[in-house]
Amino acid sequence: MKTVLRAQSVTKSFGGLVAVRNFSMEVGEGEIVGLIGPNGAGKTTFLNVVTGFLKPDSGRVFFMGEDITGLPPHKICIKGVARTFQLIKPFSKMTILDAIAAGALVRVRSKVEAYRRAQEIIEFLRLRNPERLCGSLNVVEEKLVELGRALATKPKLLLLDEIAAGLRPSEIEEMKKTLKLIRDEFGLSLVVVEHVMPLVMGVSDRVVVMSSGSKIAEGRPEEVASNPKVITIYLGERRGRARG
Amino acid sequence: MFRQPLSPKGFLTLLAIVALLSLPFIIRHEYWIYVLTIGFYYAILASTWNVMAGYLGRVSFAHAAFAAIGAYASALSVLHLKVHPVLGMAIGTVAGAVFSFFIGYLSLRLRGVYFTLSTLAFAEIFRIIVTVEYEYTRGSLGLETEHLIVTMSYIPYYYVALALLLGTVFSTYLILNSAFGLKIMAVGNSEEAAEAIGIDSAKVKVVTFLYVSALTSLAGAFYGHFIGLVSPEVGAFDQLALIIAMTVVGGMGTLPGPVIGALLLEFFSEYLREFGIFRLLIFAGLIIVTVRFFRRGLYGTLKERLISVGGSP
Repeated sequence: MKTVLRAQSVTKSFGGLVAVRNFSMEVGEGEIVGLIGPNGAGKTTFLNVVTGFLKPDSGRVFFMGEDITGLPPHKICIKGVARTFQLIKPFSKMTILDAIAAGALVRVRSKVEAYRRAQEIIEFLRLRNPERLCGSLNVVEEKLVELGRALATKPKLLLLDEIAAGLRPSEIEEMKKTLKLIRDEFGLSLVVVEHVMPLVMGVSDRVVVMSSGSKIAEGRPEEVASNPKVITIYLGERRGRARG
Repeated sequence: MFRQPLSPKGFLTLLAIVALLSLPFIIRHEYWIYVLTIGFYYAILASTWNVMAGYLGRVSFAHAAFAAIGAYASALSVLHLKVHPVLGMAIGTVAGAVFSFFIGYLSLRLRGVYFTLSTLAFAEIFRIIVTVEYEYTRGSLGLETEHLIVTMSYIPYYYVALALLLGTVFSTYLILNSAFGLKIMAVGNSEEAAEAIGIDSAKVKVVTFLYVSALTSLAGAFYGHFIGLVSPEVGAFDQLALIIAMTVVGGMGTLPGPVIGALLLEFFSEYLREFGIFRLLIFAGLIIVTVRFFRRGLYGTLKERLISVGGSP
């Protein structure tokens, strides 16, 4: 399997706090990798390093074999890495169509072409009334627009930061299907940072567990779910030992 | 919407242009022609400020200063280089572009409010230099300069100002409806999200600021050769406050809003001339009322009402 993303001993600290410590991970072509861990484990910080929003103190990030460490976010997007945000950043005063077309502009010059591609994505995500303003949508639609905007940039790697947070169980099932469909239809790799276990365990080919900035476990979802170390960090010392 | 040959919007725009073109034949009063010409000048300034504040989401406090840069650059080159005011206006435009490139390049990388503070500092520095460098600028007395057109009537100026205004509004319309316009709005909504989808936000901001400032300097240069006198007042803070009031009252983030606001407030301003500086108090009150009750300004509110009543957008 070709490696799409290779992060090599990435370290990032804020003042005295080491948010990501010597963390390495790889993502293969067409793979969905779940990245889980308790709050403050450093998942979002790692995502920010990969997408250029933060510069790592040390370590390197390679995308398709090319060193992209420290490039500005828009250049990393041009290379083919897209993301969504944990706290969504909607283009509130723009229509759904305009917002997604803005994403397409990184690949096409003409606005007409950008609209055409946006329209395709809108149909794929089954968003209704694309003339509505992004500031007037419900949670699910907001997340889908955020997803659509990222998809419009035609990424080879898509990083999703808690895309399922705040969704109802039925909506999570829908999102699960959508993510698998995205992987198959768009032929891309996904990194899913998530707290919602049904989603991350359901879609991931492989799961990486982070705690206090370091990787503590990695493997197939069911392996990870029964790993005593993982149970310990999620459920506490006693439960973890008892199970293990 | 804009694919139809003549939408209601297009029809109204055409009507407004025809009305403005024929106004000098209807109003025979030179004084009101003069007031309208000044109104057009402010409409250009409000329209360009609106591109920054209403679409790019960046508040520039150097807007009036850029009008002054254009005015001084033009007046000084006419005086020393003995060029025609038309060429002077071109030089003024270039001066505005050059200054805005450097200020934009340095300060637009800063987030939100720091850009605003930088522009405020720049505007003040410029005003002080102009006031102090008496030998070159004649300080607060003002620098006399040639008129653009030798004429007894204000009507030729009226048409020049109208042409400049229409050019500004039309080019702004084209830019906002282009692919670059989408990028401007994306950056204006969320700079980080814009970066994440591959938009070079620094470039978008610098280019937009350059476009806006060049047009503002052109308007300022015209203003100087219309009045025949360039003083630090052109770039003073109360001018900036007036431009902001016009934009907010007319409707920030809309194309016709600032034009409507500018013409309206310029008329008010003339009616209330006897109140002097206290006019600003009245305008401040107008801003508060607008922000409290008509958040989208006159034009924005009107548009909203019309749509909700069921008329075509």
